[in-house]
Amino acid sequence: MNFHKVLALAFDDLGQRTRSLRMLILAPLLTLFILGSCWGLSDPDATLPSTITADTPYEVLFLASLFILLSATLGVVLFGFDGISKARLSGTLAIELSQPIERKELALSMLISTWLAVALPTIILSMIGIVLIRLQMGEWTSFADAGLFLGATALLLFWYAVIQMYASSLARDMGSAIALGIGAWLLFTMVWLLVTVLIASALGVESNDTSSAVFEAFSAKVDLFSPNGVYHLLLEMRLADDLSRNISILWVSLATVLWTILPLVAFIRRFEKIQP
Amino acid sequence: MDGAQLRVDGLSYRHRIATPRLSNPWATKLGPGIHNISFSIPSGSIVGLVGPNGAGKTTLLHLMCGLRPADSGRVQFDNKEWKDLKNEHSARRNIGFMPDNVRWQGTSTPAKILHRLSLMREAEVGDLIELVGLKSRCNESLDSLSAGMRQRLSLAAAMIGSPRILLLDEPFTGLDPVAQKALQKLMLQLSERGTTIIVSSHLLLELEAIVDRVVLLNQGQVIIDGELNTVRKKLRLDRRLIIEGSNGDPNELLSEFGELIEYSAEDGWSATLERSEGWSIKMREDLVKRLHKAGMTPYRIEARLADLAEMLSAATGEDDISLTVAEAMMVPLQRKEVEEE
Repeated sequence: MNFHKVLALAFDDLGQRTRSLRMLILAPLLTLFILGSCWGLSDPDATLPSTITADTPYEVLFLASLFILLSATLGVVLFGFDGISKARLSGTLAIELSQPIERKELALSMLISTWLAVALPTIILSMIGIVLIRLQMGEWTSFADAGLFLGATALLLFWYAVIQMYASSLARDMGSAIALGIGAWLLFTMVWLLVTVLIASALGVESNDTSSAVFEAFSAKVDLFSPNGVYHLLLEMRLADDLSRNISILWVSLATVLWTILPLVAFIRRFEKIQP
Repeated sequence: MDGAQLRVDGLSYRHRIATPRLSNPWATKLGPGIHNISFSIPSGSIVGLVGPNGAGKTTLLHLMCGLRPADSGRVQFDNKEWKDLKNEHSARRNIGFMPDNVRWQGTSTPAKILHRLSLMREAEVGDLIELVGLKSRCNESLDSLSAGMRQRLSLAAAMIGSPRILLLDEPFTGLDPVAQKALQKLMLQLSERGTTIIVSSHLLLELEAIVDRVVLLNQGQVIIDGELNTVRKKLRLDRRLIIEGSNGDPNELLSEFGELIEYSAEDGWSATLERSEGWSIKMREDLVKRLHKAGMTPYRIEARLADLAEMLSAATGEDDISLTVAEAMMVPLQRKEVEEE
């Protein structure tokens, strides 16, 4: 594997993505969601619902992660849904696949550029968000908390990038590329609670009260199968005990490793077999 | 020429057609493909891949550049054997591929596209942009390029790194006549430098002007291959004689010498004769003498070289196929007739 070549291609692609129309759409969206949530949630005068606590900088960041889940993951969909299908439909994929480069190198370069196109602005805006929280609350987020938040956010976007690129490699027309891309995003972002409730009902777990301790413990386990869920479980590790769902760190770590490796391997294997 | 040969030996491939069912959404069935394709080409040749639609030309090119894995067979070049070009990426350094009908689009520019491909090839773009006539447009967005300009970009993409084998799928499509001539000239120059070029095209007139060998394909198989004259001989298409003259009706007399294939009588007469034994000089002299004796005045007599369309028609045994192939050439003629009306 020639990592130098992979990175050179990824950054070449990234340069074009950062100047694209899609970035023009995404950049203000991310700015509003990330900076707006960090600023608004850390405002001492803000009135939040009683069930939501934002007393420490990290708790504010944890709440801001909900806005990242909505905006940044949608950004990955925006960049990734046609990451492969567009090149395939236009015939340019055939040219790239015929070049003297290993297919896994090409796959990795496409994946890294899609990931970084969203991860870099998200991380930069999150760091500015941390500064905004300091300005509002007069207290810095600890290095460990900030590191976990930024690392988990980068990982979440990486998982989404892999899912989107895999979905795009399956699509043979623009309609299915959109359907697969948006469908995967909707499943994990919007519909996952419903999926959790359905599974709970099927397994006989009490699901009428989603705030009950039994359901929360169950939902934590189901969340291991969702990138959004694992992201939140990772972030909950640094929350106070009464705010987290207290699932074993071993399970969360295992899910993190598996979510990082399995989709990546599946995507590279899929790309190695892809035909123009 | 360095004496190296490109040899394709027993290449076979069947397309997998998706047949999704509820019970198995990923089900496939075997579709058409190519079967046991073998031929060999001296280095520096320009070879025309000719065949009707669906003959397997593009599939063969895909196998030869590693886009699809062959079910069986191998490609040999310069004493090296490539059984699995799809995974032998270093071998693909020798091959440049220009696919058919690439729809370059987006805000990127030809210069950026070629830069990206040069990173993959670890080679310089050099003066390629100038060579294909894209210099004045190299920093314009792809969306603003005409079909012909996009075709030139595809050609430049195939030529990065000076590959020793060029595989061109329908390279003349979308090019204006001047650009077509320029491409023909460029291909001849590359061939002189030792680049082996395999061109698939339905524009047979353009193809015929440059190729020194042809591979005729039909239904995924090689029907015949070799140098143009050899193929004409093999197909018995070197036995036709064109004769033109004035005065009288030569029909009966000409029929004594051979089979009358075509005959027309406008401002004199013109006929095409075929004779299975061929036409010796003595036979031609004899024919001219007999025509003079009968009071007719022949003013042109020459052996007629069958063109690629006729070769294809003869090889496949189906006239309809040659019409299909020639369709692209016929369109301008039809337009001209409409204008004249």
